Amino acid sequence: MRLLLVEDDPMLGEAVSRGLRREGFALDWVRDGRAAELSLETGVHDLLLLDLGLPRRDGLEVLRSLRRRGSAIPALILTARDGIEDRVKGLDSGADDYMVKPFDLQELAARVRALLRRRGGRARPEIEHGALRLDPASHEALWRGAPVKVSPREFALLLALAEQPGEVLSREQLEERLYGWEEVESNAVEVHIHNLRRKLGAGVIRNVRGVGWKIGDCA
Amino acid sequence: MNSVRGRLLAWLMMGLAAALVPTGIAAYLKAREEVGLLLDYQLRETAVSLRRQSLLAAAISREMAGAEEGDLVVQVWDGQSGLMYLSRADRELPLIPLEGFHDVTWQGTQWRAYVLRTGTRTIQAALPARVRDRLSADAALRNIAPLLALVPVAGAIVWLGVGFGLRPLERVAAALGRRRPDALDPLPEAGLPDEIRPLALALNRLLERLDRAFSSQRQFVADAAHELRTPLTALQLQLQNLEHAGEAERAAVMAEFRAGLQRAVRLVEQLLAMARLDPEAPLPREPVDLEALAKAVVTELSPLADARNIDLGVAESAPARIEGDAGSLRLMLRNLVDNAVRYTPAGGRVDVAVRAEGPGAVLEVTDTGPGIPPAERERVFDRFYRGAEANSPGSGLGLAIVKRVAERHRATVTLSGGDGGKGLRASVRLPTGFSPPSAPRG
Repeated sequence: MRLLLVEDDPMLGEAVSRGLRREGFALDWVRDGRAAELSLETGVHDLLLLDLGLPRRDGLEVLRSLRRRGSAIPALILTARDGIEDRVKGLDSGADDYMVKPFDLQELAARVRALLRRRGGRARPEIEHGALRLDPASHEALWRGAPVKVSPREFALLLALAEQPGEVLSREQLEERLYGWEEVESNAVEVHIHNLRRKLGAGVIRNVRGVGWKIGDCA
Repeated sequence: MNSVRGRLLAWLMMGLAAALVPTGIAAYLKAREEVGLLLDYQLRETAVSLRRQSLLAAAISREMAGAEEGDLVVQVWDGQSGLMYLSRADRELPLIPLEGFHDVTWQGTQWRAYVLRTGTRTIQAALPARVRDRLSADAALRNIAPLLALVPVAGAIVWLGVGFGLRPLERVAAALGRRRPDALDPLPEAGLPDEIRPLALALNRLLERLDRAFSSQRQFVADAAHELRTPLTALQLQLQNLEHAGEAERAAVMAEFRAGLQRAVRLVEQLLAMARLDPEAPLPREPVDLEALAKAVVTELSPLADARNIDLGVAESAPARIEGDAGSLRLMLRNLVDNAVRYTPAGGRVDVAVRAEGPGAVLEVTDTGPGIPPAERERVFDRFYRGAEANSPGSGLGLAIVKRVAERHRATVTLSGGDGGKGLRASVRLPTGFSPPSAPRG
């Protein structure tokens, strides 16, 4: 899952990026309203984390113009403005959730997961595909009822494929969802897939030659 | 006695007493004179009436008089037989040899007597002087009795009147007493008596000043709390990151955490400095040597400049002394130099200059940093304002503190481009013989 963080404070931005990346999210971080709009126009992000007091363009403005353009990307406001009016205004401007600073990293991650789950049309937190069961909150993967140890990136990859069974994701798509704008080694995705096949069996991820990968039957 | 009622009553009583005592004395003296005339008349009439009466009548009158046991003593002497009638056997006054009225002393008491001679007979009628005194006192008392009766009435009127008159004051007090401590809206002045209105007006002026001071404090606390949220959130997240950091990451996360803590500490220090620069507090007036001050600040910040590879120094200095608060002036210059050092890229230069200019002095800090666009140069002095491009984790208070210290010293701060239009120059113009700002007082 690829998130866009808009936060002008370098220290807070650094801390949020680090924390959410550790939770297995790919995260891109921009520091002002104009950069946020440019990034959102690419349409590659799954969720927007938005500070309100931004240089160049106010966060609420960014959100309103985003919604005017018809974007349905889930948006979570992260702000120091804690008044009821501010919250109402934030939500009414098109935000899906609102968190007031100081917030907890675990709670932020949980809310991000909840928003992504809802966006995928699911209410159940766990994802089940055949004998494969994934818990996005605990990063636990169960294969035929037994827990399998997977790294955060491996888990994110498995999740991306299992969420949309039947869909084929290209290496570029997977790289974006796993790394965002981070530097990626050219064979990183293949390495993860190799490791997952070793742990769960070769049939769990199937290659569509020349296109990409999709989740296997997992029977 | 410390109540208006008590005081008024005391004054009233004193006034009434001051009126009653001479009135009573005058009434007594007047009555005494009149009673004296009356009694003298009565004595003479008694004597005259006895002159015409026979001795029989005198005997009857003796019995009657004896039965009456009155104060009047009537005696009749005959030339041949001596005392022939005495109205009170127990009071045999000596015969007074001369006719007419006399004041005599008999057995230690004062008497008023009238002696009448007819042929061989002498008739003497006498009354104790205390009768006159008693009657005079009675008459005087009767005269001043209405005045005495007026005392409690007047007291009651004063008591009620004062209560009634002070009711608006009580209403004001009750209205104040019912207030929540943060209610600072003015008291209604309409309908207050002229004597109480100045009090209400003065109170309202005080309330207005309090209101201004409170709202500025409230705003400051709200701003401060708001500003603390971001660094505290960063700290909280950094701590969580630290808890989950692997070996490889740990050092970097630890450094971030330390920087976050430093920033929070710095922000709190700046907030405290700002809070202490209360614009209402009186400004100390001590002589300040600006040249020494500039050198001290440059020395203090040279480690920071070294760490960031900035060439920091005093470029120009002249003896300049002003009157003011050395502590806050030092804080002001420190903030200016600190800002310059922080915003100037490595390899840059920060110059501090002290000049005497006209009657005053000028402190200047010039850097070779990115500068501030002219449009933003006013706003950067606002509390918690950060420039659009500012990525530095400043407190947002440094220049606000500079501005407040300058204002307290009636100095002006201007920002302009540095040498050759590049960088930033902050100039503080301080008057030497300043007078404290005359705050608007109501």
